[in-house]
Amino acid sequence: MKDSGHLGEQLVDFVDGRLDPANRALADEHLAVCGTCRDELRRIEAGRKAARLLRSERPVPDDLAASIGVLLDRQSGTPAEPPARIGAGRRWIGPAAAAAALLAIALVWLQPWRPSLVSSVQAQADRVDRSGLPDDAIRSDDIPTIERHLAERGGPPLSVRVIDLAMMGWRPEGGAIVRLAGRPAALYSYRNDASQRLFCQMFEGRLDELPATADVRTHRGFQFKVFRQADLTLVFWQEGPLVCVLAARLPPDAVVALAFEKAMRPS
Amino acid sequence: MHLGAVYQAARRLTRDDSNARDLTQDTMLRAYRAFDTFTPGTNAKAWLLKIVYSMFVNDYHRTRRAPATVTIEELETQSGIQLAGATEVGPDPFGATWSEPAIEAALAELPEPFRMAVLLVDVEELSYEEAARALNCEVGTIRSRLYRARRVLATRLADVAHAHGIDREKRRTR
Repeated sequence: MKDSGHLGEQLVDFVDGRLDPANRALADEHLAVCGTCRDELRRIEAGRKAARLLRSERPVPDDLAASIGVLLDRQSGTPAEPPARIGAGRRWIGPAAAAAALLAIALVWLQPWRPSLVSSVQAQADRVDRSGLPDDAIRSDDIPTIERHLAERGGPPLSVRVIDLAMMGWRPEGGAIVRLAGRPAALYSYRNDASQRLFCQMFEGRLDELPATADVRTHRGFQFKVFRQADLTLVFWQEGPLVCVLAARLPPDAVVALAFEKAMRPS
Repeated sequence: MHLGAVYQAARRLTRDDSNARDLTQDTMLRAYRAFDTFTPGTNAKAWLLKIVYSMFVNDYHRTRRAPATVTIEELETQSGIQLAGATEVGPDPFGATWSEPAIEAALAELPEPFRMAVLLVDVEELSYEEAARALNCEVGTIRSRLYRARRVLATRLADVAHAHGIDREKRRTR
């Protein structure tokens, strides 16, 4: 706490879920008796909420994407159209050149960028661990309620099933539509009695979009790709058009066992 | 490949579409040339945003006229906010629904270091640590900037809402 007797900048850590349990408890105690800090908290939460409303991604203009493709193409040594320096005299690029440029972008960039899908799942898991589910998430332990919310927000491609893990001691806590490496994904999470968290995310894609991993397992005809990112285990598999992933800060075999048990072919 | 995130960040930083396009192109070119500095498995978006912000601060600022902004202290004073946190607000002046242009406008008023902290953490969803690396500063600096920026942002938006009669609660300051 600051010398002024108020929480001050600690409120930012409080709002962002960055306080350890002991300091959070102290902050809670202080907030219970300090109206000034409660007002400050509301103000900081409001500022954060407003900024987060700007998160929607706008499309990149086609001509910009194409001109970047040409620039990168030249860098890679492939003969190409002269770069269309948009800011300094715009130049029209024909559809064929634009398509070639976009292909160049894909060839040059998508390959090295593939790990971002794994990193993105990890980042979402880290974020929920740190700050809880997103503001627009549904918070419920009722599977049909979460499924309805995901279907309403994500549309038909993300009308996903919420895996029932009650028998394994995991209770759902809610879900939201998030973005994973630029694509929409259904995310929902569970808690167990030890307050551990388990995440499930589902998104349209293919398992072979993921980077190679030495840990690939097969079970009941499914292929499972297993990644370790710091202490987080991520297990990916394919269900029809969707890639599913379970992630938790648990040993790989524990998460793999859950995935083995619950992987299901679409009916 | 995060091109959308780069372009969006460039637009918010430059506040000008032509400059944003230039900055996006230059960023992708620099990223391509510096790709060996990217560690696979780490946050590619954070790495690209670090390049955008670094290029904006180091190159664009020096060569292009940046819109003038007032200091954070002036904004805090205008908004009736005291740094020590001894500001009292009425019942929920922050309950109004804000439009994206209103938020963009309030954000644009913030001095650049504060705006950047909000953009990286609240909009681009980077962690404090990633934002600190992108802006080449300490994590504590990010926290401090977020604290002051969010307070000003909320208060400016509440003022706008109040001025438009959206929020009819009287806000009291002392």
